[in-house]
Amino acid sequence: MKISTRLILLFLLFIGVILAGLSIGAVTIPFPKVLNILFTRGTGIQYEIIHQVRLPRILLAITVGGGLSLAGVLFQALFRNPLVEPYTLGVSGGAALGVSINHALLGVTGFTLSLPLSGFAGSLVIIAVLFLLGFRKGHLRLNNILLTGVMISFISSALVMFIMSVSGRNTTHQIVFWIMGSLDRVNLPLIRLVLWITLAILASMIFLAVRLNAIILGEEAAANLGVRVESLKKLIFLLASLLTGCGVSVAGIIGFVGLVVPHFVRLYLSRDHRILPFASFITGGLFLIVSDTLARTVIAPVELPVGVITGILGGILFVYALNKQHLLV
Amino acid sequence: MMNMLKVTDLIAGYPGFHLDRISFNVEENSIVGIIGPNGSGKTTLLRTITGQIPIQKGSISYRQRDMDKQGKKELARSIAVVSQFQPLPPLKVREYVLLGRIPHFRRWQFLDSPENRLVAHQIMDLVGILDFQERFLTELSGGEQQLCHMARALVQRPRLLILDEPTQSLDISHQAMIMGLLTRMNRQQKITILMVVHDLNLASQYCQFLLLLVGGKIHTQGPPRQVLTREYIEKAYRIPVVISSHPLSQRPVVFTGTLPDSLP
Repeated sequence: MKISTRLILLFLLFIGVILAGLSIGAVTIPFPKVLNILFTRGTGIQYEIIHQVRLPRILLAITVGGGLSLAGVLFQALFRNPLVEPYTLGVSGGAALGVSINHALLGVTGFTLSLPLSGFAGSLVIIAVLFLLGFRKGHLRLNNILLTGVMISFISSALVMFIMSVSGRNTTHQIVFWIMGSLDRVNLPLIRLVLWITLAILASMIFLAVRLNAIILGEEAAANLGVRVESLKKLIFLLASLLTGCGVSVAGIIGFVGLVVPHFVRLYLSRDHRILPFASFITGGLFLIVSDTLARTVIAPVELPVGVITGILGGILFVYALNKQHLLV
Repeated sequence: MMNMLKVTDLIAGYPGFHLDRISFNVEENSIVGIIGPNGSGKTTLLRTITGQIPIQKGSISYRQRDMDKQGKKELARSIAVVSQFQPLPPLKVREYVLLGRIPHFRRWQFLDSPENRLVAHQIMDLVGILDFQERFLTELSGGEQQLCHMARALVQRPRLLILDEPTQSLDISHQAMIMGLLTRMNRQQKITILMVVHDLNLASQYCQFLLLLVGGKIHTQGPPRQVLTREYIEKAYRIPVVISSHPLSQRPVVFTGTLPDSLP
């Protein structure tokens, strides 16, 4: 199958999954009705369900799933390491720590945006620390950043455990729930903001794609192809970290998406960075919509944390694909 | 003859090792080999020329202009580099070779132009890797991989090709294939070649000019007949050698002079 055909199929599947996600739930709304409600103004309970509950949730799934997958593509290209994912560098650990401190200090009294903001602040602090420690004499020392990031990740999770152990049961419960990650914290203006940031970074891939292809040859070879490697490394690091920080602060830590989706797209579509970031964004969004729809329907009315589904589904699909393809990733 | 590359009183290196006032010229359309014992600074010299190691003193000019003052992308359109350890990204040969066209992308260009594909096809044909263009780089043998690296460098359409030990760990047929390819490129496409060669006899057969580097300094330089003498080689490598001449080309051939029978 040609690659353009595959991309079109992927896009059609994406649209189909969005419509299915809008249709399936505690109240099933048939497809024609969904389309009708989407494109006309109206009132009534079904209109409310779609516009107030399911649509924002699907937008959030696209933002977070797509954003984390894109961050995964960028980090894996930057470090030329297939095991690196958006959470490896401790950006998520920083967000978790920020949220935990917020819970411990303010309890549940904080204003609506206080959790996302403290999460984002936590991840920004980590990004800044990593950048400052890794930057020497005009060089971003990637190996140093990778190891420092892994250590920072451990330190922040230890601090989160410390906060949980000294605070009350209620606070601990909330922190655990936040860390598990979920798409039910629907706040439309916030989702819109994060969606726009993510889309802007996705669009910047049009200008970065060719240089990303060069950097997988290694820094020295990329420089010999005329790429200004140091500024490219800094830019990729900051964009990928920003994407991760945004995703984590609105949805908590949803594991597996950022690691598995880029590999999946490489196996079935392309390794070319002129295709990979866009295809990974779509696939990541698609994957998270499916996972979230399953999470809210499998044992309804109880909702599972979406990370449970992404872990099981993603892991099994990935191991299957890997063994079928006999390819090194 | 015009100078392609002119290195003048170059001092560069890193803590613990530095090149000491290196001066030499690479004439246009020549094949120049850098020889010398391990740790003599051959790779350091190449990496300084390609801009990986900063110059402390002296200058390097490329086609009569100071190299530091020329744009990186502009340089990449006329200088290609095959270094000693090339990472092997999980790509197909065709995709890998096409990456060499990156310096020729225009500012907002996103897709490969028909010209890029044509050049890649021609070069793969020339190098002899057209048959496995759909295979993954990691599935190929060492010799085939080296041909792919050469193809990736040649699609840059360079005027100067810089190589670090292109025949390293290859069998004699691949050694001859690589050196033959370089000679053809030099004659037919007027590509100037500067390379580090470990094998003194390959250097002797295929290079027109040699630089013998010892301890970061140029020990001697000149045509193979002048450089590959018993006196220079014994002093540089600190072993007894015997110099003979190649029965066909009459160029010098170097043998090590210690026989196992004479060892205790």
